[in-house]
Amino acid sequence: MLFRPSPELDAWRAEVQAFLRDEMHDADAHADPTDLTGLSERFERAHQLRAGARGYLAISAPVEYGGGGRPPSWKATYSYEAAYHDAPSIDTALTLAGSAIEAFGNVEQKQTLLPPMARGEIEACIAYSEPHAGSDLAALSTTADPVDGDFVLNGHKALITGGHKADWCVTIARTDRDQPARQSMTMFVLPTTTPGLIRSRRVTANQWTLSEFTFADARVPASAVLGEVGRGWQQVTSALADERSGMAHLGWATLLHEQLVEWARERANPLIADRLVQLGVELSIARRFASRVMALQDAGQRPIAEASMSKVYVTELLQRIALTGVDLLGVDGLWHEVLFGPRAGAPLRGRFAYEVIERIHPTVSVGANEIQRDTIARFGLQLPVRRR
Amino acid sequence: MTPWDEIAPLVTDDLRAVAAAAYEFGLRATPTVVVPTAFAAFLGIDVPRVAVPLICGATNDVNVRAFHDDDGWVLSGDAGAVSWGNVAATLLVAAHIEPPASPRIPLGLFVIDAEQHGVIRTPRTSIGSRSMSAVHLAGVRVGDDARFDDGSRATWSAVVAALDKATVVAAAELAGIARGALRAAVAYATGREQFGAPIATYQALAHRLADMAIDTEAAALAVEEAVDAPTPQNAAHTKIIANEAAHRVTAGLHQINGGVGFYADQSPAPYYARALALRVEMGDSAVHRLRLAAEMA
Repeated sequence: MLFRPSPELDAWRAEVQAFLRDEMHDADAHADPTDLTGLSERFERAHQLRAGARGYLAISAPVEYGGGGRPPSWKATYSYEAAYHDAPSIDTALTLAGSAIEAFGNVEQKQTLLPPMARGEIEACIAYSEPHAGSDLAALSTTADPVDGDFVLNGHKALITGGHKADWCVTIARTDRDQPARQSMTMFVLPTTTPGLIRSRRVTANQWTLSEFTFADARVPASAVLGEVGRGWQQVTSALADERSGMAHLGWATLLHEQLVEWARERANPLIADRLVQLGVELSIARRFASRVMALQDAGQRPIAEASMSKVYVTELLQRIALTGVDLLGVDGLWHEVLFGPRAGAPLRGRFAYEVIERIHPTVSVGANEIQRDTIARFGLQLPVRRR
Repeated sequence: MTPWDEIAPLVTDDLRAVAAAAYEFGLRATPTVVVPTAFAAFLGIDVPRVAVPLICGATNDVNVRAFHDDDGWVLSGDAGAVSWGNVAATLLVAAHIEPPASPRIPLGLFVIDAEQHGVIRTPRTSIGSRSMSAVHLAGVRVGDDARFDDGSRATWSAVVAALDKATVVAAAELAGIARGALRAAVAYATGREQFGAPIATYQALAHRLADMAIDTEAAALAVEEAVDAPTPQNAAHTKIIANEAAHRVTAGLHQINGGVGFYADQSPAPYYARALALRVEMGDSAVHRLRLAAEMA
């Protein structure tokens, strides 16, 4: 089952491309290498306001919460184009936190948060992982103790994308210390200005920062509960399953492959051409996997194994493309440059030295690829559950 | 009953239907003549028991020469190895036309009676098909009507288009082989117990099976797209993807079936061998990468 875009979607894609080209034309003037996007928070917020005003950020969200009401493929198309254009509107509030709020939030939470997210007015983050609970979220130890109708959070959250600039945060903590982990967790949505929430930034291998949050007696009202008390583990597992379209990765993979093909064209070296042809074949595989996920989602289904396959394939391909770029450029391939800002003159703008480090994390994040292979084995092949 | 009789109702010039038939044969790893028969059908040639030299997928490596004299065409050279060549009635053979009518279209395609004088067929033992012959053409004489194309770009384009479609059919059979081998591997891993549990419960095997599933789906989706649009690029992409997928999945089937899987009466051997045979039929991966590289330049 492959996705076939409607003429309407094709026209919209062209509109988005023109918008993003225009948005990014002077991006070098807004560099901030300490951010994942390579761009300043000020630029990102202004850009997201403009994208939001055009209805792009929430194109597939429900109309009642300020969305465009389009099929999921439209949002996937935007993610692909934003990645292809290196625009800072991939990890938006809606992308990161929107699906959990939409799925589990009460009417008031949805009305308060989703429309401003759709307009690009707020940034959000998800703070699930902990130093000792990554793939195994049942092992998390942050607590939220009920006190006089409120909840008091204590613990440490790690590896938070965009935590330093987020206005809101979705998190998960144990609300009942006496129950087994999977029956005792609760999700919360809270402002990052909550007293007792202490944010810090930690430098990654590629020089930008992730955030760590410490909750030190951070008190939130019961209205901060997202979904049901005690159902947090089930909710978070389901929310994560929706995050795996892989379309942004496909956008980057396509961009990088195009750059290498362009670079190779003037060299007319058959060995180089052969490597890039093979990567082109593999890119076509990644495109079909993503296309199938879109087609299934548009048909109202929730692809599980199909989404895992798409995520595994494209993230591993992205690593192969980045490594090929470094190989082909030789020693020059190690010349690292920031994504935006003043240039030092590296070939291909130092992009592949940046990429070969950057693409380490996608095979780990949003469900490590080993977890995805477990999912394919269990839900795609109906293999018996593995022994733990 | 010849191998052509059993596929006769299945092979038409409808790519979708033929690809579906080839996929079904692949699922069971049954050697068939669907690919060469489909090639003839796509060309609109109605002749009995067609076989096509493997080299046909690689028209840049043709070793047969044809020249025209007062009595018609004379063909000489090695046509290469031909699956079912010893029982075929008709051979479709590509040849260099001497002198070439145009440097851009140096080849012609000939329809030859396999029984006629000068066609020397030497049976070979080979894996992956029920029979194979090396075919040598020693001054084979044919009439003007034996040449399919007329030397024009238009008729040669029709040959290339039919080759591309036949390539997609071969890829469909490979996709079926991958699917059949994956199913066999899942069934074995689920039923076989070692260390007190089905071996499928061990993550090392589960992850290998997951990778085999990724390969199988990649081939199936590529075939789906190429059946819809059998462009040169889609045909090349699909054959490369199906070649590599079928090889990895059938090799995985062997590995997961362990020692007993090496017996000829077990499921892995036919899948593995058939995947190898189709891997070279209608062009191996390198041939198709060369085509794609030429487009990229």
